[in-house]
Amino acid sequence: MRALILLAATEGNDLCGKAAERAATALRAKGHDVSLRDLVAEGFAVAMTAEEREAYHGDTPILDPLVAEHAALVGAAEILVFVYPTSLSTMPPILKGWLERVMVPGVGFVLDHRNKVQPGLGHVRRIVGISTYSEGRVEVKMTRDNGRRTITRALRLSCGLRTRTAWVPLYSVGAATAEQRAKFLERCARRTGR
Amino acid sequence: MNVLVVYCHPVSDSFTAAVLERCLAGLRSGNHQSRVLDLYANGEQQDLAGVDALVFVYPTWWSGQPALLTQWLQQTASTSSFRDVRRIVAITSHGSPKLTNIVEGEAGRHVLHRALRLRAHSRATTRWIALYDIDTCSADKRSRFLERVERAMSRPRL
Repeated sequence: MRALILLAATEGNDLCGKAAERAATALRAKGHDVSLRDLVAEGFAVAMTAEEREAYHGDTPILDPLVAEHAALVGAAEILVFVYPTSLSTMPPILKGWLERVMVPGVGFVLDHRNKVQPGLGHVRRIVGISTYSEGRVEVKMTRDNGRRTITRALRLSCGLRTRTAWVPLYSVGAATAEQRAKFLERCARRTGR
Repeated sequence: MNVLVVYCHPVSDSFTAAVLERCLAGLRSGNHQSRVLDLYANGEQQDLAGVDALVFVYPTWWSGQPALLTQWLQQTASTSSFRDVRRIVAITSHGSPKLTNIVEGEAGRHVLHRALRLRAHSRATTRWIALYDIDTCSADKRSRFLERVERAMSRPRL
């Protein structure tokens, strides 16, 4: 199967980078065809522009060639993996911008004749989320872990009925020991490479 | 109240722009002190000193705040304090119906009313003013929503 791994972590966030590498290695070991894309390194634009917003409901909602490249990867992907550090209970702006600019009508969903949203990601069989948190588990749950919700509920709803999701968290990352980090990377590999 | 309105929409003739206009009209008639931070026009950090109410005006995209507003929230949370903020108001529109948003988990609502609220004044209160199903709703429902925004913003406690 084809897998798309999206890494959204600022430079110097070694743990997320390593987690994405481990996920890629595990998927390749299972014979999957993996694209690993580092959004920050490739200079993906964060904000939807006025031109993009105005083109959104037209015939060609994608204007940026880099966005078109990502949309083609999404269109072919059967496994989607998201790797990012959670901040203020949600995903990094660059990943939110990726959802807004890549998952446009015709890619992430389609609008039917009554202008109602219908799923567009029926080809995605599995979604995996990997995230580090500066807060502990209790605060993350209390504030509702909104990046996770967006991916495993909102994005999941655009997939088929049988699409499965998995989540690999590392809470209180600042206080994590070397052993806990190593275990987390193991879990990233194990749960992604099924 | 001393209000900072954080506005985020790229298109100047959008429905969200009309919401901002009515929001500011309401604040004026309620004799509130207010200033607007238009994130698409000038994304610079604002001093939050003295601000006791934050009003967010934005469209909900993929069940949360637009990326640019997410960026402002995360940067501001890491560089300054929200401790003086006693009122958090979200004014937003959704493409899909309310039920869909509940199933999707209302991520944007929890970011403001839980995560941001935790960093605000210990007695801070929140308010959610939302229009659902904007892609299919009637012009009448839209205009009633604009009236609701103006009325809510003219009240002493927002």
